[in-house]
Amino acid sequence: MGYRSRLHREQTGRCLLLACSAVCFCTVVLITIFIFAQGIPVFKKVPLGAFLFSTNWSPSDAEPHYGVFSFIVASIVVTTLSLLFATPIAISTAIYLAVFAKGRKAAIIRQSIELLAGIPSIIFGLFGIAVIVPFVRTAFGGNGYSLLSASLVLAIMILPTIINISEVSLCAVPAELKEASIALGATDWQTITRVMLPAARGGITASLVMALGRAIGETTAVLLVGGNAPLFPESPLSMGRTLTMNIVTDMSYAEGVHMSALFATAMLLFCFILVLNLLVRRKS
Amino acid sequence: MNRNTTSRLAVCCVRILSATTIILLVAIIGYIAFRGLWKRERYVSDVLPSFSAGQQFVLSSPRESGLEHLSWFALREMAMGKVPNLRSVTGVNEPFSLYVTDDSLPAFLAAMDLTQTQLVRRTTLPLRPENGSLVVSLEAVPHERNVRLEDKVLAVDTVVAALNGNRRISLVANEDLKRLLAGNLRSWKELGGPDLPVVEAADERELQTVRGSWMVMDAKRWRQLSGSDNAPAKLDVEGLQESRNLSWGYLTGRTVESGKYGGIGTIVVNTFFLVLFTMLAAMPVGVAAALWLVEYAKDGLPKRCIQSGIDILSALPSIIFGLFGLLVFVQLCHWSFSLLSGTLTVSLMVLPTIIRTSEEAMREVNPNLLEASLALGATKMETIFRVVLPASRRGIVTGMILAIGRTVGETAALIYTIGSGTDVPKSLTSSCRVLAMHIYLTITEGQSTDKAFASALVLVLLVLVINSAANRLIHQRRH
Repeated sequence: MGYRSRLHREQTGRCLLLACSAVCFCTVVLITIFIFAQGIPVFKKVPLGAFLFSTNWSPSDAEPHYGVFSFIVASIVVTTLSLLFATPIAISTAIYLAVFAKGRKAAIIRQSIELLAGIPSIIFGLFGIAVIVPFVRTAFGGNGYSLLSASLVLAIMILPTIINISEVSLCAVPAELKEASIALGATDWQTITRVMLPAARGGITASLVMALGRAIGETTAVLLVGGNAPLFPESPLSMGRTLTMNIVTDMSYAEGVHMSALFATAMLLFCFILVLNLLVRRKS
Repeated sequence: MNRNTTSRLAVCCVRILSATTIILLVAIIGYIAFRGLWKRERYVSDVLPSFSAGQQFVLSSPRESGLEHLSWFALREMAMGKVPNLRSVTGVNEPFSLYVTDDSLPAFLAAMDLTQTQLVRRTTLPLRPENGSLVVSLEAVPHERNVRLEDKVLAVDTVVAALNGNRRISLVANEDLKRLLAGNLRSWKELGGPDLPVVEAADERELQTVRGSWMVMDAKRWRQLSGSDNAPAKLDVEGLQESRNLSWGYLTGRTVESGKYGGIGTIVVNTFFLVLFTMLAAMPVGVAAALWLVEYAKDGLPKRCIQSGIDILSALPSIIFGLFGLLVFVQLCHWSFSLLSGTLTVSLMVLPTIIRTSEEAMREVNPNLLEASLALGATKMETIFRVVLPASRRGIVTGMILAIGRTVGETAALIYTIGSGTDVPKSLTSSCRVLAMHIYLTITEGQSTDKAFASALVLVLLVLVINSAANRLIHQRRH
C-alpha cells in the first residue's frame, strides 16, 4: 500500500473518530435547544413568576393555570427526605468498607451494592407499591401513596451512588493521617470522625450532590408510589406530584400551551441538573 | 462513658448499618422472586368449593389455559355449546372444544342432565390437548392440569341479601362462610346485613317462608329451582387462591389484551431486539469516541467540550432523553412510536457508560506496545486497530454489558418513544413494548399485579445475570 493512501486513511479515520466523539457534545447542545425551544413559548402566555410560584395547576380548565410551585416543593421534599434516610446508612457502609472491611464480608457487601445499583427503577417502583405503600399506610395512616413512600423508595435507590463515591474518597485519605491519629492514642471512632470524615469531606459532599441529582430526575419509581395528585403537599404523608411525574403524566394528552408548560417543567429540571453537575465539578 | 466504649459502640452501629444494604437487596429480590413465583388471586364465585368427594369423572385442561376451577353451570353451558371460548372463564382467548371419552360419557350426560343430541362433542381425543380444550374422562390425562368441579350452591333468602342501609351482603369472605356453615353465626348483622336470625332451610319453599334463612343444595336441584320466577338471592363467596405464577407457558406465550392474559414471549423477543439494535448503534460511536479521547485528543477547547458533554449526558435524567426522543425521532423524523425511535433514544443514553468504560480500559494499555507498533512503521490507525482495540477488548466488553444492563431496565426514556404494541415488530418503525415498559404498563393500566410480578422476576433475573457478568469482568481485569 502506498504511503499516500495510508496517510489518507489515517486522516479519514481521525476525522471519523472526532465526529463520533462529538456526538455526546452535540446531543447535549441539541437537547438544550429542543427543550428550550419548546418550553420558552409558555412564557408568552404565562409570566415566569406565575409559572414558578403559583400552586395552581389546572391545564384543562376553561381558564387554564400553569403553576408548578407545588411540584417544585414536592421534588424538594422527596429528595431531601430520601437523602436524610439514605445518608446515615450509606456513609456507615462507606466507612465500614473503607476502614474495617476485610475478606469475604466486604466482598459480599460490595457485590450487593453493585447489584443494588443495577436493579431497574421499575422494580423499585413495584416493590414500593407492594411493600412500602402498605407499610406507610399501616404505620402512619392515609392511603399510603405519599411523598414519604416515594422518598423511602428513592432512599434505597440512591444508596449505591453515595456509598461508591464516599468510599472512594475515604480510601483516598492518606494512610499517614490515619496512622498519626492512631499513634496519638485516638480510638477508631475518633480517627474516623475527626480525621477521615473531614479529610474526605469534599468527596462525600460530591456523592450527596450526585445522589440528589439522581433522586430529582427519577421518574418511574416515584410515579408509581407518589400518589401523583397536583396539589400542594401539606405534609410528607400527602399525595404529591414531582416535576418528573408532572412531565410523564400530562405528556400523553397535552397540546399547545399545556405541552409547552410541560417542556418548561423539563427545562427547570434540566437547569437543576446542570447546576448540580457544575457544583460537583467545582468540588472535585 | 469511657471513650473506648464509645468507640466500640459507634463501630458496632456502623457495622449494623452497613449490613442494611445486604438486607435491602435480599428483601427486594426475595420479595420479587416470591411474588413472581407465587400468586395469591382473589376470586368471586357464586358457588362453593366442593366439600363432597365422589365425583364420577375428572376434568383436565392444558396447563397454559389458567383454568383452575369450574362450576357445574359453566360446564353445562360449555357442554351445550353455549360457550365459544374459554375467555369468560379464564381469559384465554382460544376457541373452546370439549372432549368426552366414551367410557365417561354416560356418567357425564347423567350428571349434566343432558341428552346425547344436546352435546357438542368431538369423538377422538387428541394426543395432546391444545390450549382452550377441556377433557372429561374417568382417569386424569397425564401431563395436564386437573380442574376442580364445584358442585354446591349457597342460596339466601332475598330479605337477607337485600339492602341494609346502602350495603348489600351479597359477598362473604371464605372464613365467614365456613362459620356460617358451621352454625357459628347467629345473626346476619355479623356479616353486615339486617338484624335477622340465621336459619338453615331444607328446601327452597322453606327458604322463601323463613326469614333470614340459608340453604345448601346440590347443583342439579339448584338448576331446577333457579328456573322459577322468584329465585332466592345467591350469596357470592370471595376466595383466595394460591398457585404458581411464573411458568414456562407465561414465559413463551403471546400477550393477550395488553398483559391482562397470556404471556410475555413476544415481549422478551422485543427486549432482545432493543438491546441488539441499541448496541449496534451505540457501540461503534462509543468506542470511537473513547479512542479519540485517548489517542488523539490534546488538551484544549475541543477535548474540554467533549468531556463536559459526556459528563452532562451521563447526569441527565432519563425522562429528558425521553422528551428529546419524542421531539426529534418521533415528531421531527416522523418515525412515530417505534423500535427505531426507542433504540436511538436509549443509544444516546448509554453512550457515556460505553465511552467511560472503554476509555478507562484503553488508558491502561501498556504504552510500550503502542510505541513498538509505531516503531515498526504502523500508522496510528493501524496501531489502534491491531494493538489498542485487542488489548482493551475486555474493558470494552464490560462497558457493553453495563450498557445492556441499563438498556434492559429503562422505562422513563421509552414511555414516549417506543410505543406499546405487544407483537414482535415487523419493521424498525413498528411500535413494540419491552419488558420494563410492559411491567410499567401492566401496573399503570391496572391489568394484573401478579403478571407484573412474574414479568418483574424475569427482568430482575436478566439484570442480575448481566450485571454479575460485568462485575466478574471488572474484577478479572483488576487482578
